[in-house]
Amino acid sequence: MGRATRPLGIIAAAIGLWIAVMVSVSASAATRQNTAPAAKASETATAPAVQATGYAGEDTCLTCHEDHKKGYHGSPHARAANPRSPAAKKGCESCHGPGQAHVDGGGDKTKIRNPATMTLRDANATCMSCHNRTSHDNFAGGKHDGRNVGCVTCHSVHAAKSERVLLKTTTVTETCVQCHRKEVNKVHKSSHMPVTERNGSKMECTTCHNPHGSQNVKMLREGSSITEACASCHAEKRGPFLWEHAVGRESCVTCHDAHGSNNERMLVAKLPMLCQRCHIHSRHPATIYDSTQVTNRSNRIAGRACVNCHQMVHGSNHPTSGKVFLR
Amino acid sequence: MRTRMMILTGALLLVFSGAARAQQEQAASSQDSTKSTPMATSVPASTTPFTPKLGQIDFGFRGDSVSGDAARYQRFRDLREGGYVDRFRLSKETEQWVFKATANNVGYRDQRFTVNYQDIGRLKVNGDWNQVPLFISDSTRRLYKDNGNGVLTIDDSIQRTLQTAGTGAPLLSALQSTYAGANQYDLRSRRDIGTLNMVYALNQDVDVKFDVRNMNRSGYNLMSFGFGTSPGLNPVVELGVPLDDRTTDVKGAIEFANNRGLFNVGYNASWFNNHIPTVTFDNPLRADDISGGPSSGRVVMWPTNHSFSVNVNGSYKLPARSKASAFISVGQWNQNESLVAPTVNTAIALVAPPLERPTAEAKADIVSMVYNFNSRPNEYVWLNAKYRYYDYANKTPLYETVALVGDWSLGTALWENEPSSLKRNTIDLDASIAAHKYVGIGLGFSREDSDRTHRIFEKTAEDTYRVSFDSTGNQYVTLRTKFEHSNREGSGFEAALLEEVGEHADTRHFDIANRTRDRLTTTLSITPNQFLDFNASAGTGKDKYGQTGFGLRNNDNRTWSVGMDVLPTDRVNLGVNYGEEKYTALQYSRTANPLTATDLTFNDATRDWWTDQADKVKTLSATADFLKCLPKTDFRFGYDISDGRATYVYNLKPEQKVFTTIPLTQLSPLKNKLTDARMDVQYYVRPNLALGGAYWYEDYKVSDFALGPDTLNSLVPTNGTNGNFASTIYSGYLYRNYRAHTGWLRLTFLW
Repeated sequence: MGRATRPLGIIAAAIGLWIAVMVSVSASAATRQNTAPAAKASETATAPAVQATGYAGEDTCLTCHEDHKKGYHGSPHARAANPRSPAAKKGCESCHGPGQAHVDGGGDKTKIRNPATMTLRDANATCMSCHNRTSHDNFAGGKHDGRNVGCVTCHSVHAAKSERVLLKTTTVTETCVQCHRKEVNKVHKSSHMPVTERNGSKMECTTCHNPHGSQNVKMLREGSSITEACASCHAEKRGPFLWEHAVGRESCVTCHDAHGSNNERMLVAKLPMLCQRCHIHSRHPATIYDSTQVTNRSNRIAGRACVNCHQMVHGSNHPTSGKVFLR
Repeated sequence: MRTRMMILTGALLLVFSGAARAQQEQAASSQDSTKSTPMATSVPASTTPFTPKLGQIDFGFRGDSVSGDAARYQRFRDLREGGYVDRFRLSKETEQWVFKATANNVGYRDQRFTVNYQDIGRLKVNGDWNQVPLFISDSTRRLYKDNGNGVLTIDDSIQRTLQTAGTGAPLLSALQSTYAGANQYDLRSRRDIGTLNMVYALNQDVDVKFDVRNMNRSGYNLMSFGFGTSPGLNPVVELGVPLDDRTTDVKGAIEFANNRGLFNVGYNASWFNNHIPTVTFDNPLRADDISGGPSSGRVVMWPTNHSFSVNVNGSYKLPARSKASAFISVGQWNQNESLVAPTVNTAIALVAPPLERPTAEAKADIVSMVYNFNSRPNEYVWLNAKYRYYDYANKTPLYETVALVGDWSLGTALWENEPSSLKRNTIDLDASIAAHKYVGIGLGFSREDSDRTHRIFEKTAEDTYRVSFDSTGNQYVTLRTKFEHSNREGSGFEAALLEEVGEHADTRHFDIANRTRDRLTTTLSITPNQFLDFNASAGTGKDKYGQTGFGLRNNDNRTWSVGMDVLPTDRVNLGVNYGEEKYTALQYSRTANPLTATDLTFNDATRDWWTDQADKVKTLSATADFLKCLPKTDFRFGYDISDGRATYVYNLKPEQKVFTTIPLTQLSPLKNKLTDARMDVQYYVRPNLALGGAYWYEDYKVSDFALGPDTLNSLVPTNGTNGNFASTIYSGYLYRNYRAHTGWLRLTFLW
């Protein structure tokens, strides 16, 4: 009993301690925010467009927040000809809410919605009120939503650095690496996809994954299974084949690491050892392919090992030799 | 029946979401009244003039110096020497339309062009032409001549010379001299991908979407084929197989969305056409067909195939910040390629088994559904329930044939295909509790039931429990951690499937074997002020296949990384990160012959062995940017190292009987080390004109016992050309070191 409860107690204490630290940190941050000078904002309190609706108007906002203009204007959000854009609705206040009380309060930060200080899910709801199409519709309830990754975790409406999609970093990979370091490090390995500039910049993380959620597992953009996602580019391996390799039909990632590997063709382990994980005894796989076999140039380990003969391992249409994936 | 019920349920939910439209019209009218206030009409920034966008072009000269494996250095890139035009950007925007065009590395194999046009609020059109080269090897050589249409031939006189050279040493000697004259060729392929995406907004709520993508693939791919099944009488040949195929994907959808819900109906189709359905390739050793070996072989390449699906998805917002969504997809994959005669060996063609049917008739019906319910009833609680259904029903008819052991002998066994089907039912239940504004504690449970055909377990069920702790949103610190425990168990074990292929009954296939899995991941980011950021991550995972006798028993991983970013001013950005990954695995086997009355090694546990695998990789990444620290000058530096070392260590029992005469000699470690450094300098002569230079250094060092030049630095087989252990005539494809220096002198013009 004592042994079982000790780790739970430690975990509970750690969580409690962390929350205590967060409470004190947030209290300190709130104090700092409230003491920020609001002189500029009070000047705008005399702006003419005081509305019964509570909206102050974009021009009023920009008198104090001129620095936000650069990132906003020129972005898709500012295209007023698009009736779905914030600019066609309430401008700044489409996202920040009615600002007149904020103006009247001399820039009182408690009287304006600021996605940067809102809870992430509340901020998400603001973004999703316009970004409500299929590409974003699966965000709510998705993996990122579940882990409190919000729109503003990756995107910045006012200070984006990327060429597209208003990311806080220059590239998609730089955004993803902040949490997915292990996966991004793999693209440096000798066998990889053309992700990152060093590898040709032909793909991005978002080529395969939709960070806003998807109908597929692993937030994969295409299809409804891992195999379907891979087959969207590797359609030659889609089949179905006359002779199937069941493990490949079920999931490509049983054998391949799509993020990169130091093994030939992004395999998760070297051949023949990878094949020997399932093919234990049926004749030659049961052999130990040691250094002597390498010296003797056995084609069951030299070169591409098993695949030297069993080339059509993804499936085959050959009427006879396809049974053992030879042709 | 159950499937139909779920489709009906989903359809009802989708229809329900359609009601959103009517409600939206009502809501819109009330919104309109808000819009009509005087202030509201003055708010939009429609009168604000747009700042002219920037155009850019880089052009200049690129120089290269590569020693070693230039193909691996270039891989997906084309960095050949010469003049170049790169990073072309043209962007023009008015209040009514947007036009953008880009071009990269124009005229080279990896060139890319994009065009984007928007009639703002009405139409979006994106066009993309993307060439993706894959440079596999420049050290490959061949005797073959490509005659087109998948016909690879060797000069008859060469085949006859080798056929009459005898066996053993004289044959090897003849091969040696013949292959000394093999021609070098570049083993490369290229994908040319053209994409067109269009979105037309019919009105505020409805979009019509149309996408088409065409991908042509051409060139050569590295493959190898023999002239008979094992045991072969002839070597396998590794060769560059010609590729010429096309994949065309078309997607169309109509989508309604408003602030209450979404409804989308779409159709996806894809056609893969292989213009080289078969490849015939000469046997270097034979000019004439005999029953003991053919003069050429024929392989069936990827079959032409087609897929399509009809997809419907929708979502509807419910009270209490809740949302229900559904997705249903019904489709099919099929291929009906003509089957070819089992052998091209004229000496045995008459005895070859007849085709049971003329075409493959392969098809699979696929039904996929996802139902999701998400709710935030108050600011403290987040709930999500997801049900996922996936059914891949392979309807390919059974195909039975008498075994043809390669091109030389008719067997007696009957072979039957095994069309694989699988069905998955997955439910995910997650809850997150906001213990504090910055702290979320998550709890989750998943269950996945899978049903398969032709696998050793008919069914598996996996339960996963997870707990997460996410402290986010605070400007100073972010901490994320997650622990996951899962347990998978199979049922309906079919020992007969293992016995049929001569495997032990306690062999397990790790992708469906009984397994317990524990995973822990943590990331921490500390930002004490706006100039500094520290980050760290760690993860560990343990997969244990407890009931596996033979096969993969353990598969573990451990990773960690630390890094920091320093931004002392807005002109200086420094970053460094170091990480390590370690993957280990243990798999178990036994060296033995098939069980017979006289040979009992199959049951002899002293012949057991196991492999301890360890794959460790260290990665270092560093960047330094100095922008205008010197007048008019930008410096950017980058440095990366990926240093990997993998070992495969064999172990035997003390009383082992496998190595009784020759001792076991362990394999040498596999080493991969890639170092790359890059420097970029730009000096702005004028605000819109920069002179610049860039330099990339890459150094790749590899040691691979199977693919290294010490093992394979010869095209001819050194393990003999006859018998059970006939070797392969390799192509010259190797893992080789390279060291590359690439420099650019460039002019950047902005307008």
